[in-house]
Amino acid sequence: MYAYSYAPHIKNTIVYNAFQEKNPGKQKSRHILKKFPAGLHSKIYKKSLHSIHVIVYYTIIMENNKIIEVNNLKRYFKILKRQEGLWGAVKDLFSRNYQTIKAVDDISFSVEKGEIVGFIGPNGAGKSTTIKMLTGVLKETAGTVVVDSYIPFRDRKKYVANIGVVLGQRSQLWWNIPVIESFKVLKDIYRITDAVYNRSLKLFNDLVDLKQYYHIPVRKLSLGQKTLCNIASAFLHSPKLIFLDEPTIGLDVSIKKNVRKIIRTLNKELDTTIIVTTHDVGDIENLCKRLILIDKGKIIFDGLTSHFNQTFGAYRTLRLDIEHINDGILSAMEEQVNNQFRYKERIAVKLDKNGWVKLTIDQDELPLLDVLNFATKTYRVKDVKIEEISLEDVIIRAYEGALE
Amino acid sequence: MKTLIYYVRIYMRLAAQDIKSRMVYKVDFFFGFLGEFVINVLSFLSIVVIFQTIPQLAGWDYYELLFLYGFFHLVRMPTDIFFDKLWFLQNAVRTGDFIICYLRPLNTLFYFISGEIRLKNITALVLSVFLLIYTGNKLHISWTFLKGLCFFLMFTGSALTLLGIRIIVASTAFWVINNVFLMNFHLKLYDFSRYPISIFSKPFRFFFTYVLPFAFIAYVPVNALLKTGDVTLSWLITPLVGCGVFALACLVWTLGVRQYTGTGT
Repeated sequence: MYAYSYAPHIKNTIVYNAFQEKNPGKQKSRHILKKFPAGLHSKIYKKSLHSIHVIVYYTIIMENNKIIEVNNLKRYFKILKRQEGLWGAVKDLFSRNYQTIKAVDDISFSVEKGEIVGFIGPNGAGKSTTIKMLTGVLKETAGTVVVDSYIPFRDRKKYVANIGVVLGQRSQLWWNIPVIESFKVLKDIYRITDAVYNRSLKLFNDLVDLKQYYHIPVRKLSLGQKTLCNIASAFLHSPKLIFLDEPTIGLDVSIKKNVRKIIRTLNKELDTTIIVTTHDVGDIENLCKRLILIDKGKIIFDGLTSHFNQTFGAYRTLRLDIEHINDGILSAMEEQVNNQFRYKERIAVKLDKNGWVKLTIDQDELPLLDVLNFATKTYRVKDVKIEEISLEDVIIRAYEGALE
Repeated sequence: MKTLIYYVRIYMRLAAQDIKSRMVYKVDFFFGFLGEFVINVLSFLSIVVIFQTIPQLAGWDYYELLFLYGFFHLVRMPTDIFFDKLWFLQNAVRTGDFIICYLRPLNTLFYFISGEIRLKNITALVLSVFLLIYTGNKLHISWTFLKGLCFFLMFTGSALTLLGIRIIVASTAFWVINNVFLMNFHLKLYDFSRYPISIFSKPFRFFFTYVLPFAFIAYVPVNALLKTGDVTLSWLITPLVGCGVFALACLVWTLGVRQYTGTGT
């Protein structure tokens, strides 16, 4: 007799219980496992319960279109509170003065197949820790991570065969081996079939002409060439999911462009899901439809990049070309504007590099047109420009706001 | 079995590439071999000189001591040729490069040590085999099939003991980060195992038998082979200790790997 029940410790999980009066034979268990696609069954527990043998097969079934499910994920580190000086170091040896650091503090999100998601956040926000938990390097303190029906840390060996990881600052190829030989080793490691292998290589040759680096040992490549090869190596086995950790760090503009082109193409043609962590605004603008902003271990924003600007206020920059502008008029103008309007903070009126007067205002708080009307009545305005605030400025605002 | 073939295939490929890439630097390759050869011959000669002045050492004569010395070098071969990268573990852990070992669908220890093969040590291998044959002849060891099998088992056990201890000491890097001191200290102690343990005082003997079982690297098996005459059940102690130490080493490594958190980026 079989029964389905819900496992409270893992969301979206179905526990498949097989009860049998007698010790279930091997054939029976195999028969049950066959009902699920290979790779879905994670572990078989054998327990003896009131003389009835119970086998619990549990299978994580996610919604079909999801590839990552993270629920209430936490990761704490215990760190010894260090004391200063040599004597302090000696005291530390016997100290039990541990401090708990919440690197990732209760985050939940899910990612759909085929998405490109940007992970951003200030340094030390918990991005790397989250990625490490997603890639099976770190065990979570609490909460659950399910990726592609695997639990990354527990099923590490099987799981990592299905993903690709690129660490921007670390080469994953063997430094003294020519690129093509490294690829061949990876072909063996991931058991890539000739067809997939050749298709992957062809794709990269069409995109960035990778052939020219084939016979050069990795250590002799420049940073940009190394990055291209690293990305290629992560895509070789055409994984469903790729993690890119700062893929464009330290690269020149043209290689950055190439890297982004590769990522976009692979996402489009092979429907690869891509998670990018980056500090580069260009990466976000060019790649990510969706952004997740993490700070102090918490998710501050999770949504479309195009909505990101509005979340942190509908900021607009007003630029005015005013006749005979000088510092005196400018400070007088700042005084008048601030007297005239009520705003959450003092409105800064500045000159930009073209000699235009510049004000940045949150539209939700204060209609820009009011300010514009006021300005055209009071001053001789020759020309007007209204700009949306750049993504970079919003990110800076978000980081600074978040850090308060 | 399938897994074994899979791992061997990958290892062979990486080893071949490593050797090929080293041979690119012909001068370095050649002098590496030459240097290793000179070092080995010199250390061998120094032992010869020492042992010739002392006719007997705790009941061991000249040829027995040389046999012990040869066995000692034979035992260190697997570790020194295939597991040399363990010396760089603390470096990989400190810089965070070790993270990459987690990202491949392979055993972390295997992935870490593969791709680095120290062919230079083959000179010592040749020397030790020569020494074993030469002194074995002088000592008139009567080889039987069973004895040969036991010799092989004991050699395996000793090699596993040495490898296990090396892995355990190297694994401390996961906890203490800078373990160069420990690595060097264990190397100093390990050097003692080329002498008969019976020359040491009781506390040292206890230490080398039960705490850091270096006695099983050369003394115990060679003692069994040369001093007990016929094969007895006690010959199996060395293989058993080897398996035990190696299993413990795998456990320590796994624990280390599980709790390592890497570096921030």
